[in-house]
Amino acid sequence: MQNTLLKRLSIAAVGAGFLAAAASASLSGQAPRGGGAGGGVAAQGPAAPGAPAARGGGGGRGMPQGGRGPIKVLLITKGHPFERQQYWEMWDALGDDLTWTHIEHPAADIMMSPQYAKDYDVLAFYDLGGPGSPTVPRGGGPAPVIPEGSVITSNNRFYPPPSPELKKNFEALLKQGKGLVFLHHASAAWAHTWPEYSEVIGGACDWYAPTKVRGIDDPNMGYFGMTPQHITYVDKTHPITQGLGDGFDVVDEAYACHWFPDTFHMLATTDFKPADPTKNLNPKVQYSNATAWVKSAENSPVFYTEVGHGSTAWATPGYRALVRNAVKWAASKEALEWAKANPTKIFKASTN
Amino acid sequence: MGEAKPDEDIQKVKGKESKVKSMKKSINVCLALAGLVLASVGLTGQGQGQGQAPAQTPAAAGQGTGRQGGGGRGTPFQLPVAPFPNNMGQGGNGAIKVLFVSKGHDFDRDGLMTFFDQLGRDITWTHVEQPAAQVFYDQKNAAGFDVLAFYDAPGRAPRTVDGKTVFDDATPEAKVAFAQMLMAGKGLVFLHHSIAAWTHTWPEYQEVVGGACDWSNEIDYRKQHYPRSGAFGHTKQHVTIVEPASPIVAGLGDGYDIVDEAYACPYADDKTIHPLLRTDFVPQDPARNLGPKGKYSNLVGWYKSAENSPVVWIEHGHDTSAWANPAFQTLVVNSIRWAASPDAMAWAKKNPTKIFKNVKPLKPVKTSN
Repeated sequence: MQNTLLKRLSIAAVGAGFLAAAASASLSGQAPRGGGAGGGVAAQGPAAPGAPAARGGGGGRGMPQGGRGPIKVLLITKGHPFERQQYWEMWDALGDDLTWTHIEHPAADIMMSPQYAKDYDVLAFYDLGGPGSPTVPRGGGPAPVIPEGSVITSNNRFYPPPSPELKKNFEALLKQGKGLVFLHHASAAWAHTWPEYSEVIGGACDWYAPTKVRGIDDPNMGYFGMTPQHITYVDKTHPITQGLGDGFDVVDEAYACHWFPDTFHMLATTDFKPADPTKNLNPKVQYSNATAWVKSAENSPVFYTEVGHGSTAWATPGYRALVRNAVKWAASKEALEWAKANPTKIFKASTN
Repeated sequence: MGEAKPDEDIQKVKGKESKVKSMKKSINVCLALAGLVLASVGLTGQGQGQGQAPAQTPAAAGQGTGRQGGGGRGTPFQLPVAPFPNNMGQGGNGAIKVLFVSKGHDFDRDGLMTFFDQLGRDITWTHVEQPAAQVFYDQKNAAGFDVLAFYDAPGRAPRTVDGKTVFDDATPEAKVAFAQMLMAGKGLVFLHHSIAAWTHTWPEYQEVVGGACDWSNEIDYRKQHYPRSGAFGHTKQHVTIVEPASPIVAGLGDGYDIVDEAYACPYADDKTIHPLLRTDFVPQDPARNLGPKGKYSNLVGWYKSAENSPVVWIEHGHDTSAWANPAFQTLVVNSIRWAASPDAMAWAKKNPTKIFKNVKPLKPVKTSN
């Protein structure tokens, strides 16, 4: 135990050093930036050497914020906080292959439709749609307005439902065919209120309340922060994993969530195993060590990986390579054709 | 940096997990502190190597200005101990719903987002980037938001097509929808480089904001041609309040000091705007940025109407030097509150500015939050 803690601490310390270096480099990179064509003496050269564009500044030097690659990615967040700066930097680092545009819920709801998703090749989800809140706020304050149709759990949390427009539009989008990449906590989106959405991803999580998944009551799903794991590619021939070797080591949050292995094609497993899965999952549900997979959802190709909680994972080259390849695959004609040839019917009673 | 799980949930975790969590939390706190120290070291370092005397007076600032910035160079900028003391968590939970628009000019993203977080008692903000932001030029898609706050600057990267220089434009549908949204009435707050948005392709947009800038390319504004605009980084300025009775400047007395990037751009310093703020910064050679016929305006803040919509523009806001300044925080929160208010909406409807000649108004969609 102590050994593991020490290991974790030293990894964190290395991480701290790395972040510190990055922070100081990027901040000093801002220093020479004086702006544009200000009239004056001693005009500075246009390119301050080595000045990264990541923080401040901008325009013209290096990789612009948002990237410049041919694949258009709409990156959807909100509902679960995260280390924003480091996350943006990871996406920028993929910027030779993709151009990404960030949008948050609830604005993102509108984009999850054939009409507005048409300008993007891939929708990448790092969101947690329909997050729960306590019905009685801790520390007092006015009671929250609980939207109609919310699910209220036995531990007094309420989960607002997706709007009818979102449900209708997203179903239409899936049937039309769109590359979808779901990352980490995105598997907890709408877990209480929109069972079809969990079927799209291939699993469901909620760490804060007992959750009914596929008609089974799971007590309280697990998350295990900063867990050293080895990720093993179990299919090394898929376009996403090809050339990535056997796998990679990563220190990241691991989950014990209710996955649906019957619905997906497994790409990778983790060697992490929760001490007592029955604390997290209904005894009828086996803990699954699947940590990355592909599947279809109606006519759309879907990728999910559990990895990607924080900056330690995002800075891991093996993780970046996995995300890069996943986006490239989801954007590809081959993936769309594969999904169309192997569709998964999800919406039984069509709302359209 | 915050640990991702809310406190209330951390308490639910049992045994070992909770130890790991709290350890991770304390490591994150350490990282946050380290980050702050580094930030202040890094920013302080900006003053070094310029060979200027410290604590230059604003009046002398013009002497040293140029590409490497303004008079603030010799004055080390110190981050306050807690730059954003009221951080309410990512996105805030205030009553005013704000759509925060960016892309087109790089910036310290997490820095500005943290700034918006700390307005979180007043606002709930939702980020959207260009080009997706154009979807929300449509009043029906923007109905969930009281105020659109712009920090974007799209349409500034020139491309050569058939030997001609062209700039990206908003889509034709988005442009019509934007005009119709303004006719229906929506609160708009423009910050800093957002005055450069669509400046090469959409003259009406210049009229919505009340000016035009581009620091990399020459511009046309109100049928006059201008050289590249001026930007003077980290300039120490004193700003004077012009209309103290306006709710937008409430709490600022008769003025404030700020160290921020200053601009020299053509502004509508006329009856189409209501001046709020004037800076004491004067560029050394205004003609260099404004041409022989252009006149430098020391306006750094105004309010106006655009069709039936209330509009505020604040020149400040380049980086943490401005964002951590209490005067800037006051200005932004006041601007948002005003733009969201029935008073501002009524004022704009009573004093509309006709801008879009060839667009027919639509029935207004009520803000629905």
